Amino acid sequence: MFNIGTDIVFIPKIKKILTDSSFLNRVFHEDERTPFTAEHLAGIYAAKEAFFKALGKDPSWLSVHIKGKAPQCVLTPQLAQKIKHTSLSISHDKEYAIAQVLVEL
Amino acid sequence: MNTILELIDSLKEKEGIALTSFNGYRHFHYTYQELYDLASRTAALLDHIGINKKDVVLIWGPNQPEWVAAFLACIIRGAIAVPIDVHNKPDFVEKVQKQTKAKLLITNTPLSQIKSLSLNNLFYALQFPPSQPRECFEKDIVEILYTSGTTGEPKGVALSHKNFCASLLALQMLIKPEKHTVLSVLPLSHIFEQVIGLLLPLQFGARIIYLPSLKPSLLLDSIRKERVTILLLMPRMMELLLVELQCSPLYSFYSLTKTGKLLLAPSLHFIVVGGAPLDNELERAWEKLGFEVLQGYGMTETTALLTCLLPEVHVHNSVGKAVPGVELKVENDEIVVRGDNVFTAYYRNKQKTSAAFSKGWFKTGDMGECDSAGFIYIKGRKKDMIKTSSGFTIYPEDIEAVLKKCSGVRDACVIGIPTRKGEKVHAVLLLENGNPEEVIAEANKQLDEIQKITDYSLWPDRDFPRTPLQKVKKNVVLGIVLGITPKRIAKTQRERLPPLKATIAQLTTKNILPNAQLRDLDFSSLDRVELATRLEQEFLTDVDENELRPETTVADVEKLILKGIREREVHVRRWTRWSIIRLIRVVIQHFLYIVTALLCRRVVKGRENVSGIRGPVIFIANHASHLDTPVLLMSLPFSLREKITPAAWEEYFFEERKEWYWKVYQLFAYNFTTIFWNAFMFPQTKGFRKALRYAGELVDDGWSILVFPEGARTTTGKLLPFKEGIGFLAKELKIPIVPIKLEGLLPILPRGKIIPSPGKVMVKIGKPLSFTTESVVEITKYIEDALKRL
Repeated sequence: MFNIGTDIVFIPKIKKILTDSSFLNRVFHEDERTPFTAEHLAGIYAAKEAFFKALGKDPSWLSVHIKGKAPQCVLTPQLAQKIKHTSLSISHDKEYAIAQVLVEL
Repeated sequence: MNTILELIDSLKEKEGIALTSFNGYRHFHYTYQELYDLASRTAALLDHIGINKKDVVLIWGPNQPEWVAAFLACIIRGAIAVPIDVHNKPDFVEKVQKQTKAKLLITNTPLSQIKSLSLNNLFYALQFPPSQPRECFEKDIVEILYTSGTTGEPKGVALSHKNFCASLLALQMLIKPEKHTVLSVLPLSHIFEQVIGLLLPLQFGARIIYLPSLKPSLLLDSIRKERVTILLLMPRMMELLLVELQCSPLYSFYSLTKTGKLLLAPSLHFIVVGGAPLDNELERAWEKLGFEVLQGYGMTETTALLTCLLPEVHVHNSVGKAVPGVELKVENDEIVVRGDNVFTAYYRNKQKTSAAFSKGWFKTGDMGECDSAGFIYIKGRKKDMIKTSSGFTIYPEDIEAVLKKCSGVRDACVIGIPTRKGEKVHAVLLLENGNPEEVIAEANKQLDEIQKITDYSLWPDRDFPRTPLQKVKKNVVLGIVLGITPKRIAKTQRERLPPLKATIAQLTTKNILPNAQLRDLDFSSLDRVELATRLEQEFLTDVDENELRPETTVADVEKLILKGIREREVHVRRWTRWSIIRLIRVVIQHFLYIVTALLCRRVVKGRENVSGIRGPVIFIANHASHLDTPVLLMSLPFSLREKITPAAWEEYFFEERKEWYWKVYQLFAYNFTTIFWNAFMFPQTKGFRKALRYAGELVDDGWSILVFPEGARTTTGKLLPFKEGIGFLAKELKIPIVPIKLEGLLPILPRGKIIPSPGKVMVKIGKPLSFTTESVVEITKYIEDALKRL
């Protein structure tokens, strides 16, 4: 079975929270923060949100790790058990970042 | 002492703990020898990266031991450090990099344009042997500090070894060198903290404590627990702490009898205040509680202290006398200074540098007077002075002081609005149930004719924009006020917002009513995550952001927080760690072990893997039966076994059950496991962070932890997927993980069975695993694989 999730993020909003370390620690793993730009973080955030929408669950931000230039989701064993495959795509345009996730259960 | 290098060199001879840092969960300690070693190795790392003498290194991060090591390493290497405040945005860092041609950025938030080195993971990257320090001279630049500046573009102040040594020398004559414990809330990127909060304590062999947040309750707690002797604050923090103290019902008692300090912080010698002018009322309030306050006046350009007012000396309104080595006089009403601690130039800014000096004296930009005894009084900043149309010069600080005393005023900022003929005195108010017209009238009654406020506006946000040291950014205020029509702004005066409303107010401009839904307040999903984060910080309780949905109302949020606060420490039993309980437990446990031994014929492999362990570790094992814990404990050497706290699934004991026998069983089981097995509650659905905090407390105390990462007992014998809680534990507590595999327990006492049947059991103890920079997800996976392989 295939499920899809998508999310769009207004980048200036992320820009405002860039320096709030508790927010960063709550949502992003350390190496997801490189490069430390609002655009990049907005994309990662959108990807995670999209992922959980595809699963139909509430976000548990640090259970997913978005890695790589062609971004991929790395999951905790609990999550990985239920999911056969994930496919992710992120895009940016001026003030918006958008992500789409396809999940095969 | 001629150079800071001599100070760094002396570190390796000193004894005791230099730095203690608390990461929110557990404490990390670094002795003087360790600090010296870390700094030297970091210097070697810098060398390896290609940092040479006089190269610029940016350090952009919060107060933590790694920051100190990086800073000292730059000095050892002869490089120029440029500390940047955490609150500065990436564009500022880029600007600085372009100006200084910095070769490296040490930070937790790397930028792609500059070569970056991770601050948090610094200590994991030190594979090189310690580096020998390079020769350095008095005149060499130690660092360039960009002043936060309440007006205009920041300037880079270049400070040399001579400057620092002069400043430290003066301080050593004023403060007795004892075994101090210093706690500071000031950022290391500020000169005040660097000199008084870092270098001076290191010189004295004191212990410095770093906390992860400035929450007043955390501060007060730490002062007591760590027996802090010197507290460094800026005036704003003194205000916030005072408000926190005033919440206590005993406050008036403390104040009348001067016993506040004695009862709340008996270890404290004195409070050092600097960074901004200290209000008299504030100082008096603290003195009435019995605290001794040491005030300092100085600035980045003067390597911190120019004058100092010692606690015993009560001269009101004065900032004290000049410190040894500083010459000070008043010229044209302005305070000018000379001394070895005064900087020589602004970085790459000849114009501003020559403008700042007059015949060899540095113009501080502060207007003041000096009395016959040598006490200095500050009237105000030159830049903030308002020149009215009638040609008079007034100091906004005086007017602000009057305004702040008026009822209904939370804070006030007075600026000069330029007109064709001069400046108008304009008050920007932050009100709390105050009527602006009445407030202005009341203030004007107390002010001189020339000082009277001509118009006012209400500040639309919860607070004024402030610098990292909490000084109001008046140029920003002016800019915004100019864009708004004076007198009334669209918003009506804000009533005093209780903390919940205030936290929500930071994220929306709409009216916050109890039945307003978050979606009505224009909360996007991102806003909800931010709200959860802020609520957690404000109320010190775990907030599940998934409870904050678009349809959640403000009243619901309030209920959520109250529930969190009530549940905060409901299921924590510290007394089970008391020695007398431990004694009883050891005896009872051995009886239980005998029973277990009868049921299970054990073979233990791999005991040698844990024989060398000193200090707490996390044991993890697969979970099949209730007998797992006793079997596992029996298989470990006594020294380890006695100091283990197993993590028990909280929901098992506290989940709502209808049947009465279940309830009785739960009560019995809870007491049995906590008292006889010394278990602690580890929730799986929520409140995870509080369990993590307690785990940190256990580790600080030397206790190891036993966790079953599957979370539940397997019924099939196959390993259930690990919950990621174990990854967090490993990452935050930073102690080794010992995997243990238990085979054969499933047939003996599986889930559901009550009477066990004897059988054979194999206990395989694995080698300890250590992690450094891996992520939570990766760690969980490694541990799972390690257990599978056993």
